[in-house]
Amino acid sequence: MAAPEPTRKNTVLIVLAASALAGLWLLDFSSIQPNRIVPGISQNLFAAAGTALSVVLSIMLAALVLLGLWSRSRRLVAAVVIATAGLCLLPWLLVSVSLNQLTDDQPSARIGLGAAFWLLLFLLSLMLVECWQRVNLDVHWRLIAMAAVIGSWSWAYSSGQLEALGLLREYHSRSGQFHQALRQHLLLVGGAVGCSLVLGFALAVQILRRPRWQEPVLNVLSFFQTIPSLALFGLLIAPLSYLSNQWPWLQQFGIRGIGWAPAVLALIGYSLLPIVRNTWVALSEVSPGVVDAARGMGMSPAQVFIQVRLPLSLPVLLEGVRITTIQAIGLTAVAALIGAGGLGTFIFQGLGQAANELILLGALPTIGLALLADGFLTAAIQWLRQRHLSTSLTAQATAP
Amino acid sequence: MIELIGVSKTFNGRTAVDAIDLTIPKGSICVLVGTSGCGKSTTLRMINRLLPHDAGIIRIDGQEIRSFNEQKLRQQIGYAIQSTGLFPHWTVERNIGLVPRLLRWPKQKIQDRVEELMTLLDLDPAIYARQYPRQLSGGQAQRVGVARALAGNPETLLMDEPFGALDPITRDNLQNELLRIQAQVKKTIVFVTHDIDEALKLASQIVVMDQGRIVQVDHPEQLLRHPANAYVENLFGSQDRGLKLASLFPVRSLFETDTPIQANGLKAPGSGPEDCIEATDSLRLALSKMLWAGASEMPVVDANGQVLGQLTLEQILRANGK
Repeated sequence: MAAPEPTRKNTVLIVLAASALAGLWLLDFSSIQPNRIVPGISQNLFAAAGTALSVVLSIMLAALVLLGLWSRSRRLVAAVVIATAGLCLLPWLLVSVSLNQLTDDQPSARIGLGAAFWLLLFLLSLMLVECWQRVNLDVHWRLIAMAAVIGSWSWAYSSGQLEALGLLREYHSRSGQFHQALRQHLLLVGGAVGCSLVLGFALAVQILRRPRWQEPVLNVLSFFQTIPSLALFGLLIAPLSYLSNQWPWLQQFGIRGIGWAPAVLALIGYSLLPIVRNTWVALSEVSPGVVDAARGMGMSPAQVFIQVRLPLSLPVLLEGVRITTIQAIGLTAVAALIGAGGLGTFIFQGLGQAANELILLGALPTIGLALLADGFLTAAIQWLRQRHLSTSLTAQATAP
Repeated sequence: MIELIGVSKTFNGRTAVDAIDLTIPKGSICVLVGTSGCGKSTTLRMINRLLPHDAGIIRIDGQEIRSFNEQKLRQQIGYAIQSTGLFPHWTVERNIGLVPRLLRWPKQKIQDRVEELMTLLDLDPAIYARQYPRQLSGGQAQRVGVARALAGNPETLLMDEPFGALDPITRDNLQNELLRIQAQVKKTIVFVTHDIDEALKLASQIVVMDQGRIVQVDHPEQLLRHPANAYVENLFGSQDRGLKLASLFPVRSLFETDTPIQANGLKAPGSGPEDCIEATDSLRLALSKMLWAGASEMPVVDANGQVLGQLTLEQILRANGK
């Protein structure tokens, strides 16, 4: 029998679990507001959700600290299980708060989320990711863990006991607006990324053919990136209003100084650099030996490009799309300031009204979208790489 | 047959190939050698128009290559290079089937051809057909590279240092494979290398190039015996030319040209590989075995272990020295 694997300290896990434990007891978990205007009363988890659940969660976090102190790959699997269970437990804590604290005579009372809740959500997620990376957990198990968490949250939501959450109250009072904003947000991001993909690809192919253009093109694109987003949105207002005044038919397409037009233009400006740079690097790093062989076998230039260069550079190219998409999702939130719509609308409304829940209604879906795009594209890139491309860029060059 | 008449190539005012004339007979292996930058690779790459020639005429089977469609021309010419140039995102099967696919062969014919070539190059289709290039060893990858070059059944094969990146043992194996395959398929092969031993082993015709010009075109033996100038003499090793020469001839050839020796039909006594000489060994190997054993004569056996006769040091010296 093999000697048992020696235990090691996993400092990251210890720090995260200990902070979560401290936050759980020291910070407020939730607050109760009788209505939207009146300031709420904050409570810690113990007071808000009852002793039993608080003790269960504390024991789980303490177990994570212990697992961190004497860590082994088998034990880290247990840590993954506990962190997943913790994330599954979170919505039920809120259900418990709702059951314990609200009575039927307060129909417009709302539950606010306190620092301890956000801290727990954040730290438990970090621990989950840290542990599954340490033990190199299989993708299927990661998906199962995520499905369990999502399932638990949906179940808690469908129980109807979360309706008192301030966030959901804000959502229900403007669900129509929310869906429209979400659609606008996705359209702006999709349009900008789509346009810059086509434009960036064409530019990258051009600078690949004419190396002299490479420096000026990349310099101009880098310059765009250095302009603060708000400034760029603002700078575009004047020229676009001029254009739409000169040619009024432009206004029929919604092209004005404010609205979606300057937003999309600015987003394209920001998106071009990552796309052009990654496409150009990807295409130029395809092994010259492979291209030489492809031409030497009698493939036409188009065949060489479509069948050889493009598939070999796809992972790096998609990496550019990933960066661009995440960046565009975040920047679109700012574009709400120039009237482009999108989820940013709620953020700025909430800032104006000092309504935290309204800000969250805009911010959380934005973060969610970015994470979703990141996860999806990263998985696609990894799948492509694993499939067959691991050595494509290391093949030797031909001798002259 | 490939003919080059007054062919030149200039890169940014620097002459890489300078008005060369060369005729490569059908079914021969023509090896281009020379120091790096001598223009041998450039010459090779002009034949399939990967590089356009600036002056002169290049003909394949009497047809000027510019009269063909560029892609059609290359599909008719096999091409193998040093880094193999295998497509890492395609399976072995798909790599080999590239040119037949470009030639729009029917599916079944392509599959049969791929299997036939893999068998010819000693790659079990059942094991390797579905593998990706990164799963292969260097030698296997190069076999696939050669199979891919042969796939469209071209009359002409261009090989640019195809075995250059391999270890000596694998390289030796693949050289033998190439000679074996060539005996079966009889292609016109143009082969670029800077390895003189490889050139001597494979070539029916060696072209020595220096600074874009052809210095000498000859049979390996003639090159060793009568180098045109000091450059050729140097390239082919002035000191160990004797051994290089001896490596050109199999012991068998001696027995055919010399007075027939009486075959006594006896098994060689205790015939280990070191105690006797095989008929297929080169004179160089025979000499080495004799030096090792300290013997001035040794029995020669055929593939079945039948003794063909005795080979003496005297005979080797006479054969090599003439």
